[in-house]
Amino acid sequence: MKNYFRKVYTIFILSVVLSPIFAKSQTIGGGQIHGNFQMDAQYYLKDSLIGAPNVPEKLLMNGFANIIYSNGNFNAGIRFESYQNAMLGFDPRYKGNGIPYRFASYTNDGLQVTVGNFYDQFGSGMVFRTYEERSLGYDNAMDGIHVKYKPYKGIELKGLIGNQRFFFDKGVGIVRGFDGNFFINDIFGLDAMKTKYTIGGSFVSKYQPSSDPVYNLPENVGAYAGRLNITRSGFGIMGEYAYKINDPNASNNMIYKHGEGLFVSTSYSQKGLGVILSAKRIDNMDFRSDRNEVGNVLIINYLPALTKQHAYTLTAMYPYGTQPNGEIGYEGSIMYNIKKDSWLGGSYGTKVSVNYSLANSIDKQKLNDTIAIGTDGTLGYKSDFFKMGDKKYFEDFNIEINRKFSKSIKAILTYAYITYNKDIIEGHPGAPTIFANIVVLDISYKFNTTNTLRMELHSLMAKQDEHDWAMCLLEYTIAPKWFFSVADLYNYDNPDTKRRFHYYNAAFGFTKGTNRFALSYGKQRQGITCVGGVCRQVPASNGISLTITSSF
Amino acid sequence: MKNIIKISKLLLLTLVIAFSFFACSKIDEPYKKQQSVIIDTTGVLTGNTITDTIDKRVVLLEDYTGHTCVNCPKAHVKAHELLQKYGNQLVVLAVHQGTFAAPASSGDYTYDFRVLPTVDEWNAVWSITGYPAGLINRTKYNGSFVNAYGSWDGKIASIVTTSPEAIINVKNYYNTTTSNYTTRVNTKFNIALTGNYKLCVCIMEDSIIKPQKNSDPSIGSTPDIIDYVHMHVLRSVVNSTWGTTIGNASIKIGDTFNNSYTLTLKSDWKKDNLSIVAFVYDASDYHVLQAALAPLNNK
Repeated sequence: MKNYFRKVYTIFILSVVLSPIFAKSQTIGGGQIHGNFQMDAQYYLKDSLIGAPNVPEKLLMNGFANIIYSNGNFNAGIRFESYQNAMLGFDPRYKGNGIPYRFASYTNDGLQVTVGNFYDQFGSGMVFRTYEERSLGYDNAMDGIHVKYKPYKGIELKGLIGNQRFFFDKGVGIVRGFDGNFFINDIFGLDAMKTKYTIGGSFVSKYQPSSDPVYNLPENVGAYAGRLNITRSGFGIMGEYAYKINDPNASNNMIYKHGEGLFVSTSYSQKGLGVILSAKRIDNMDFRSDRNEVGNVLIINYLPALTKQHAYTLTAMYPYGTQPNGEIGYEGSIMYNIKKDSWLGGSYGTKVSVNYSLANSIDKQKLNDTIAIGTDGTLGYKSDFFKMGDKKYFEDFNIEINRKFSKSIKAILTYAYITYNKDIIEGHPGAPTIFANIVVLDISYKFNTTNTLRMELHSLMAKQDEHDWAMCLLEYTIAPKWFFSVADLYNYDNPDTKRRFHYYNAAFGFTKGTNRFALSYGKQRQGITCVGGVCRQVPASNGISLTITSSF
Repeated sequence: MKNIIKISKLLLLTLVIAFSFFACSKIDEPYKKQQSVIIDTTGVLTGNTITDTIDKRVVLLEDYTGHTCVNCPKAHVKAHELLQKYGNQLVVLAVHQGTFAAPASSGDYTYDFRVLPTVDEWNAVWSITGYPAGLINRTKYNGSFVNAYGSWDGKIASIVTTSPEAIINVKNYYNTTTSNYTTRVNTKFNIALTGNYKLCVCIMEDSIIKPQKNSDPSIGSTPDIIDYVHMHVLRSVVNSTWGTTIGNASIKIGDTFNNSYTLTLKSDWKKDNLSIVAFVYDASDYHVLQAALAPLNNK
């Protein structure tokens, strides 16, 4: 086996060195090499009015390239990353060049072995999920060994061990994990049964040495989870419960309370109709391989987001960030297709989706009269599992109507009412809770098979924060190569009349084959951006941006 | 039936492997260690000089903070607790920096605590993006200078009992003829060293009463404490952002360096609340060898 690895590894290295990388897929020893590349650069202009920070370098750039070699059951790859220096809003500890991700894996008789870096997820991710989200600068990749084995039909076992990525270095903690997935119908030969059952369980432990002179710290912190998934025709229900033992860390102010997470989701679908109802409760579930870290680094788990990921600029202005130290959340969505050739559905049918989500604090009570809630070196607090706390963090009711009027015209109308507790979500106590009414109209007109004009009209009305906003975007696409757009985001009702800024933007892009170039000039407002409940700050900026993407 | 037995064995084996591999460390009370570090708090700062030079390790804690940072009072309380615990073996410097320290154009938060451009030049090296955050002796832990306040105690405790590479004596003089203050800093190295070592001398002010944002009701009113007492505030760096080179190339045991500075004090600083903070650091990696503090005036 060692010789096999050495042989394919040599082939891989030679292929990387000798082949012209940014060309079409190459055939090497019967295998293939492929990859992708992206570079984002921005030239920053001074703009102290909107609060843009001074950038001494003037130009900042984030870039990466993935290069993967595949040959039958064997895969290997690297990712080169470059930050010269990291663009505004990304952690400046991303600095310089390096290869933080490299791996080799093979599959043989039901056993898959991966050495080097890898991503994986156990269940819903509450005890283990590693992934990369470039728009957040988030990457908690593992570096170690990952095995996956299917010893019997319907049984899937996974084990892993390693350290996590910490910028161009590795975290101090060692993460060990085990996960089992059992497809009951397959195991017991009940393939004909309409109802399908899957059960699963995970156990994850991190080891971090401690010589802390103040606290008696657990060097091994374990977390486990159990889950059940039942499906029948269009109906499905899944639930997972996770538990973490005492894990005093910088995020929970060194309290020794255990952590818990419960996630339940049920769905129903039939032709033209989809319904999803979900609920979760999270308590003290910040789980990292370094107890001293805060922010988006060295996080072992992922706490599922139960809020809609809005795509339009103004509906996404107040996004929700998951609160790992405690939250209760609910979400319900209904998607319905109104039949075509009906009075409501029109000639082409109409899609309607309604979504509601709520995130609230959990109940927290003092341990006794003398210890304040969250005091370090104690159990922190008591909490009634099913009781809601007294703070609403976030609420979103939205409805989206998507209709095609003719072969040339289609439109999407979106309305959202968002309650946003800026105090909690952005950590600005004293900031008022924002109640925003948002309407977005997105209309496309197709002149012919290649030329399309799209317009977005947005309005956000709020009596708090920066009050009312409006936005207009025009985008002209000449498929498949060109696009041009202009947009203006205007804070026309800011209570500080001197801060009624226009955030304008003009962009164009060119695509040829798998290469794409986009150039834009404009201003960016200060705010936060969230993906799946994980957020980062976005500082104000003014400048020229260039993006190049390519794949082969 | 054979299948069921086989699967049951497999499941059992799986569970045994999983749980035997990954032990858990469940901690029972007491969660905090008792008398884990014995600190000598008898060294006395009297008058305008340190009468007895502290020959023990004196740790520098730089608390990066801001008046509109709602979580920063928690870090201030932690720094205060640590000063009570470590006595004169800890020097705290509150560095107001970043967006939370920026003055507002109107309202309660118009005062500018920042020492510019020094604090921004410092943070260009530390890369603090979230506040509050602290530097312990400007030393990297796990590749980063930045430490959450929950971890300050442990990191200070891990170094405070070690022997210092240098000792520092600070004396402040008032010249009645010129009405100027002068600070004299005497640095004596305890070990032989090679490299570039710098002395940084700062002016610090206690008890500045200005508003502070706050999120913790146990500390004070929320969201604003209008009459907040700001302690350990960095007022200026006397000898430029990165200080003065005092030892270059080769330093022998016992080498002593004397540096004097005439101080420029601003009119709104209260002299009785001012202190001089001096520290010596390795210019190659910024880590602080020793720190010292001396009040400006007799009290």
